[in-house]
Amino acid sequence: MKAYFYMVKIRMQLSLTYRFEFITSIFVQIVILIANSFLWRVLYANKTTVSGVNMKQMLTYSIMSVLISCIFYYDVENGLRSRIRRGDIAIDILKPINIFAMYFFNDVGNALNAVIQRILPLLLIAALFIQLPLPASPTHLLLFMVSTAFSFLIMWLMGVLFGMINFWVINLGPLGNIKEMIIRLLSGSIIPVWFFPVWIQKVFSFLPFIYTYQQPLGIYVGKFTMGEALFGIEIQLMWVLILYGGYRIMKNRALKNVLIQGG
Amino acid sequence: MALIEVKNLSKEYKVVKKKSGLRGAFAGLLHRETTIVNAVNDISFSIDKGEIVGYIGPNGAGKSTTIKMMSGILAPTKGSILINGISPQKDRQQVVKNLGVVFGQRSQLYWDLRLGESFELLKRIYQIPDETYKSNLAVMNEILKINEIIDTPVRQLSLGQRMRGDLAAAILHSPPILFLDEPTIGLDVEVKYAIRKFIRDINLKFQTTIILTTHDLDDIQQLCDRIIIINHGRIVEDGSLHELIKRISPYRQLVLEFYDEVPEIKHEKAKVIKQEISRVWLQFDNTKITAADLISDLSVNYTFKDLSLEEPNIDEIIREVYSKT
Repeated sequence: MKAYFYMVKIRMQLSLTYRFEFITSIFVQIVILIANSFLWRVLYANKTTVSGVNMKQMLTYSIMSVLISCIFYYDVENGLRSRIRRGDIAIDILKPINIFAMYFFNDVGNALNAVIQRILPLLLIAALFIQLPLPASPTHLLLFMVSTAFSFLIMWLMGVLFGMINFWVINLGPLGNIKEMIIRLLSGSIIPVWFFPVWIQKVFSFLPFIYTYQQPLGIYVGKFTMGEALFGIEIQLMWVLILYGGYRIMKNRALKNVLIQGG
Repeated sequence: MALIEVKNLSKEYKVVKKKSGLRGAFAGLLHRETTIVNAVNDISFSIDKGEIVGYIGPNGAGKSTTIKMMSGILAPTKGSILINGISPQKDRQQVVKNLGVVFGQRSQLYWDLRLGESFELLKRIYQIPDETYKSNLAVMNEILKINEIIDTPVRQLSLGQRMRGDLAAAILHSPPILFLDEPTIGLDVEVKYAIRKFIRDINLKFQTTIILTTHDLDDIQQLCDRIIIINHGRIVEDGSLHELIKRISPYRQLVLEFYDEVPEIKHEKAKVIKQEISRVWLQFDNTKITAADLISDLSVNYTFKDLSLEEPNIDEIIREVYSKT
C-alpha cells in the first residue's frame, strides 16, 4: 500500500516539473470557460428557464464542467499505449505489484494535482469574470462530490479498458481520440442531454456516458431532485461494477497475452 | 533441487508476412499470411545457487525471449519453468520478488526524478525493511559509487551512470537471482570494469545466482564459470568455457621473434602455421607438450630475440560454434 501512496507523491512531484505544459493547458481552459459563458448568455437571451434550468444554473453547470474535466485527465490509456509499443511494459510487469493499481494511483496523483494547480485558479478566474459557481445546497455539494468520485472511476475504467486493447492490437490509431470525442459530446459536458429530444435522452440513459459529466453537474446545480440524484448515483455504481468486471477479465487475458516489443 | 529449472521450453511467434509496396499493404488488409517462428525450441537446463552463467548466442537466437519467459513477462508456448520451485506463469508476483532484472536497453528508473526517488519507490514496492535498504545502499555505494549520482535527475545521467543506477535498483531488494540482459552494451572500458566487479562482488557477498547475456566475450571470460550457447532457438553448448575451448581449439600458439630472417623450424610436436619476415607462429597441442618444454627444446637449436604465448581466441571459437550450428 505504501508503494501506491508514494506513486501519488511522485506523480504530484513530476507534474510540477512540467511548467510549460501546465501554463499552455490552463490557458486553453480559460478560453473554453469564457467562450462557454458567452454561448450560454446568448442562448438564454430571451428566456428565463429552459428545461427547468435558469441561466445562472447553466453558467454554473458549464463552469463546473470545465473544472471537473481537469480531474478526468488520466495517463493510463496513452501510458499503456506507449509502454506497450516501446516494450517498457516489461519493466512494470517485473514488479511484485498490481501494475494497474499502480497506474490508478498515478492518476489519483494527477487528479489531486489538478485540484491544486488547475481547479483553484480556474475557479478564481470564473468567479471574477463570470460568476461564483455555487452549489444548490450543502447536501447537493456533498452528493456532487460522491458522484464526481464515481465519474472519475467510470472514466478511468473506460480508459484502462481502451488502453488494454493495445495488448492485442499494436496500433490502436485514432480510436482513443474518437472515444474522447464521443464522451465529450454524449456525456453532457458541453450541452446537457436534457436539451435533447426525450427518445435520445432515453437511449443515453442506458449508456455510461451521461454518468460521467451530466450526473454530478446536474446534482450540483440542483437540476435533479434528491431521489433522482441518489438513483443516478446508484446507476453510476452499477457502471463502475460492470466496467470493473470487464477490467478483471481483460486484465487476466492481457497479462497472458503479453508480447513485448523488441530486445 | 536446482534454483532454476527449465524443461522443454518452447516459444512460437506468429509473424505476419508483409508484402512490399502500397499494393502489398492493401493485400495485407484482406488476407494475412502468417508464418510461425520458433524463437525458442525445446530447451532445457538447470542452474544451481551461486552460479554465474553466461547465456550467449547471436542476435535473434532466443536469448532475450528465454530471459523474458523466465521472468514471467512472456508466456511459453510449451514446456515449464520453475524458479525456486514456483512457476512465473502461475504466480508472477511471488517469483518476481526473488528476481532482479536489468535490461541494458531499457531503464526502470524514473526519467524526471532524482535517482534516489526511484530507489525509494522500489523500497516500498518490494517492502524492503529500513536496515536492509540502508545496508544495501551502502554496499552499492562501495561498488558503484551511487552517492555521487543519487541526487541527480535520471535524465541528466550519462549512459554509464544510468547503468550503475539500474544495477543498484535491481538488487536493492537483495534478490537471490539476477538476470542481466546485455548490461555492458555501449559502455566504455572503465564502466565495464566497474560492472564486472559489481557482478563478481555481489555473487561472492550474497551468493547471488546470475544469468548474464552479452555479446562482449570478455564479460564471459572474466565472469562466468559456465556458459550456455543458444543458436536458432536451441541450446548447442552447455558447460564450462574452459572445457569448450579445450575441445574446440586444443591448440595454443607460440610466437617467436628472431633477430633477422626466420630459420626453418622443425619440431615434432609443433607446426608452423604462419610466418613473417622475422616472426613465426607455431601451433602446439598443450596436452601433448607443455609450453615450457617446447620453449626449452627450441632454444637449444635456435636463437630468438623474443617470444610470446597466445591463448586461443575466444571470439573465433564462439564464431565457430555459431557457424557450425
